[in-house]
Amino acid sequence: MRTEITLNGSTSLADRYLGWAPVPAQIRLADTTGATGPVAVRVRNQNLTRGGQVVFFTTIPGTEQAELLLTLPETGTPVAFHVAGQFQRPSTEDGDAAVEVIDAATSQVLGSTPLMVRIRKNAVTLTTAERDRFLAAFATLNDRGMGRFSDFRNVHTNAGDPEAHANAGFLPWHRAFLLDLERELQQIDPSVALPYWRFDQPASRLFSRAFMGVADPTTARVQFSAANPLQFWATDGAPGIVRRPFFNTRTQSATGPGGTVLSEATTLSLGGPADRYWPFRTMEGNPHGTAHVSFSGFVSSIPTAAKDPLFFLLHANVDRLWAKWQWVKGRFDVASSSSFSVENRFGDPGTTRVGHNLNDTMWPWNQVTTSPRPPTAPGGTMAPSPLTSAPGLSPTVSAMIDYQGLQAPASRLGFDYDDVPFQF
Amino acid sequence: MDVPEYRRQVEAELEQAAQQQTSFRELLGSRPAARRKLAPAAALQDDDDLTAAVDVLSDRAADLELQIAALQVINNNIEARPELIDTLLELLRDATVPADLRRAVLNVLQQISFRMVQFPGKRPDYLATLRSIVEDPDAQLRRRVIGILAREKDEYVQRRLIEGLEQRSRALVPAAKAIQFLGYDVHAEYFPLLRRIIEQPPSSAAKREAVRLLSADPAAIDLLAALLNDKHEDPEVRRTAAVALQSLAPDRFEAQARRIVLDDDEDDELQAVSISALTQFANPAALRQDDQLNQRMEQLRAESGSRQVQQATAGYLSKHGTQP
Repeated sequence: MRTEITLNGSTSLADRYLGWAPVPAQIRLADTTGATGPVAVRVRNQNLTRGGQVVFFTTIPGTEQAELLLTLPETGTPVAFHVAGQFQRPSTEDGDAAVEVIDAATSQVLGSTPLMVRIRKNAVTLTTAERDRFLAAFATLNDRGMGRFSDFRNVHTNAGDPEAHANAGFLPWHRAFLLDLERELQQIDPSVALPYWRFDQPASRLFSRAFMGVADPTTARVQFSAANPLQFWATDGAPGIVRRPFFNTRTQSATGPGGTVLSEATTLSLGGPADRYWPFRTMEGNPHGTAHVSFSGFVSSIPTAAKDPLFFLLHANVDRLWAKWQWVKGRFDVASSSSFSVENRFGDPGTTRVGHNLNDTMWPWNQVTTSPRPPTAPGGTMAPSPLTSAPGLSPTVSAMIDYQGLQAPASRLGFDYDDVPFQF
Repeated sequence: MDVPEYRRQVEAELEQAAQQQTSFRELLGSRPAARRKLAPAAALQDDDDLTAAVDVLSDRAADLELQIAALQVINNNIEARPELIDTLLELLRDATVPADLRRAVLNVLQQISFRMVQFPGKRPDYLATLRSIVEDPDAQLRRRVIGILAREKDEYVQRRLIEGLEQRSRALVPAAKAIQFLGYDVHAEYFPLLRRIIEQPPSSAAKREAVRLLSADPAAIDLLAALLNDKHEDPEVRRTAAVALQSLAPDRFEAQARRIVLDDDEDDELQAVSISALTQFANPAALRQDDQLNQRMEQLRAESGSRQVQQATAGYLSKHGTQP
């Protein structure tokens, strides 16, 4: 006898990546040899002491369980359930988690499905192997300035500025930007998730030669160890990164001459007594803007910020803060003005600049290049994912809000943060 | 920890932080030693706080820490009072204002440029103010202002930087920084100047920056290869040439990288860079068939006294060979 598990409707290896949000799964008897009737099986983690861990649900919404007892028809008809990564038990290697199926009567192992609980983590907590896989994938995407990364660099310029900043769509736009990049990295190495720079805490492991580099005191040119592939980073036809912190990266949170980033707790209170999106969005100033200008160099100006790979780790933290606010305050309902402040579509009464209204599509993924959109749209449509069809090739602002699929499971975008759980 | 317990923990942290928040006027009334512990929260600012912040900014006797707190209040409320940008620009232009405060004002203006919907309308004034202080007596402020303008591809500052490279008495920043700033908008007309700087460098840092920038000049392949292969050249210049050649002519570099790795008499760090480049970018099938190179990697892994070389070969062998 042998069982087979499908995740997201597929047995493909490409689908075996989980976050905290439950995904649909099925189990069936693929080989019924020896089965004389329905077979009771236990579905559980294969190894409780190492690797990522998962939890199971018989129904959604429902209570997570450490293991399931299911009865499988001898006809091979599948039985449905849901599976998710267990919060705070992510993987560190591809395939280090596994779902094991055993015959409840005999304890015989009937099947094992390796998978990965793939989560966006605080950069300073990455293992050496995680860090090096991320850097290798990023350097491959950049390919000495000749790779696909140039499209990402060319999106975040003065021309694209009004699409991404200074308005309601700042957070959804950057969530889409990060997701697009992360999916491209995962096409290179599916075990990679985008780490974040927790800028309200010291991060000496991040600002080291082995990771995001250390500034030359004279020129602010970032120096890397000889084994770090970021030493070959190039943009706009020239190699190298210019970035010098105004603060001590070993002992301080991000601080510039004009002040220090707000702490996470203060940031999460920006929504005011009613916890609404519009005042929360002012985090675009501090901590987001403050983090950017806590350095001199590329990352401190809008037209050059995305030349620096650190940009994406900075924005991953911005996005994490939004995600954490959403979880703490329950702000996933796209129909609520507390979740997002501007309704409808550009041109409707009460709406704002195009690209920043709930049902607007977002540039560049919509490939619109007529005014007032920028004259070019680098990079094409949103990168697809084997895990979900959301947010679509041309995402709307609204598609970025319910990122865990809490309100609508089909909205799940396929990423999670290490300290932001999924909670019914 | 289960999720409900985690939620309780997070909510308790938020509650504790909320109790520590204060308005700007409360901060103003506290003793200097206590101010560092108080964090004026944006949620608690109102119009009176904003007025108090503007007053503090204008008070030449106020301490810098308080003025920076005042700047943050203004930053957090700038959309309600966009005219305050003019106040900030005035402070930035005023050479009688202490340099520390002017640098803080510049930093806040940069923050505002990231998030304020009305800022594009103020951008011409902002850039004009920056241009007006490119010769400011404060070197830090001068360098930062020029850097911002360079990233905006400002033609005025590009001309001034070129002038400074051609005539040292006209230099606004050290040569290495000037070249670096010009790199934000490389023009072919810079290339002859860069070659002259490489021949007669005002500093080793300037030479490295010039080498790096020549990766944008297709005609510089031979020059970069010559610098890379010259064992008498400064090792840091050679490493910069390696990276520049890698960017401009990857196939040419790969051939050089192989030669460098096989050479017993080569700079350790250059060998490590070459190994890393081959690991990351060379054709895996070709590497697998290169017995001479692979044997050399095993040898270096076992025998090199350089930690950088050891780390680089470990990475190579992990990806392309057998893990020792």
